[in-house]
Amino acid sequence: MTPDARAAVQQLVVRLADGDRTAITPAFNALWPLLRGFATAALRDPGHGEDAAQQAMIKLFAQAGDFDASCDAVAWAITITAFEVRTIRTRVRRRREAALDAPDDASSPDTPESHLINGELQRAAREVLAGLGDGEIATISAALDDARPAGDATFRKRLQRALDRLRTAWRTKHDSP
Amino acid sequence: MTAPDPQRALLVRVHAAYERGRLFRALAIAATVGPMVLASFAGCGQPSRSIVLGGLLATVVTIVHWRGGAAARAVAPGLVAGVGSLAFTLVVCRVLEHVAVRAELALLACMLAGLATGAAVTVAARRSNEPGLFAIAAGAIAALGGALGCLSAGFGGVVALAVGVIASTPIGLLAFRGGPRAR
Repeated sequence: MTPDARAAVQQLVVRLADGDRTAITPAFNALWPLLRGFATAALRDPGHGEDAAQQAMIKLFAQAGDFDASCDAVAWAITITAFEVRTIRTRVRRRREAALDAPDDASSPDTPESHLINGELQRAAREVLAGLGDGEIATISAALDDARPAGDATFRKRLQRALDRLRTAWRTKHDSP
Repeated sequence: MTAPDPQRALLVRVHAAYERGRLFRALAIAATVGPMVLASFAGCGQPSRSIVLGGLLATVVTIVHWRGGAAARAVAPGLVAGVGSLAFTLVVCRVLEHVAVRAELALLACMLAGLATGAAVTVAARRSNEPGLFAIAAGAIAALGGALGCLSAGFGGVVALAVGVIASTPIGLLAFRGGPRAR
């Protein structure tokens, strides 16, 4: 920024502080490119930079009546913008943290991803079960359906054996626990 | 230079923010009238009249400061001069009541307060680039502030104070014409 432009901004902001409404548009035209450029460079994102610069412009003009003419207007404007840049940076960081803390949608039962995953798991389970004997499949099915035969004292032992066979078959087929 | 549409929308918001900021600041300054009204209750006048006069003073302060310019710069000196005048008349009112002196002296005290207020306003106006406008705004605010104390002397007290301000301010400005100005 040239010293002449800086002096012009100073004069416009002093006029604003004095209540001169005719200085609003020229001050806006002088400050907007400066503050937008600063905010965009600071945030490295044109969208966020524009948001920060807009908020800064509104605050700056709202506080223009309090401006002390002995201060540097450009430094004052940049200070307000830097505060807005920091606010937006904090907001973006919190949004990222909230996204990381959010539950994984893929595990939710209503998404297409979850349907695909469940289908794959069912197909793999059927393949492993096909390698077991009919008696073992019937025992596991009865346990899953909560249809334990009454008076069958050996059911628990047979279920234990069937599950051990199932686990071993799963490990052998999928190389995982 | 014509701004593109998004910028024009922002310019409208900026304009509104500017006016809102000025209004809030003017209201904050006008709030100083509250303690003046409370102080005037300690005088010999009626609180209801003080409240009406305080409301008028607060309204004038708000409008003048919100508008801006030389008149807005006169608000603070006007209020200071008004507080001085108010304090003087309140003390005089109590003293005269204590010594049981009749109301004519109260009117005289109000006139003296008005003259002193006008002189103070004139000194402050010399430093303004628009001394006439400055003196009118500061004089009106100071007179309304001082009138809060002169209510004890009745309507005549308020008139006496106003006459004091109106008499001394133009004379002072004429006397100082051509003198040094800060801005």
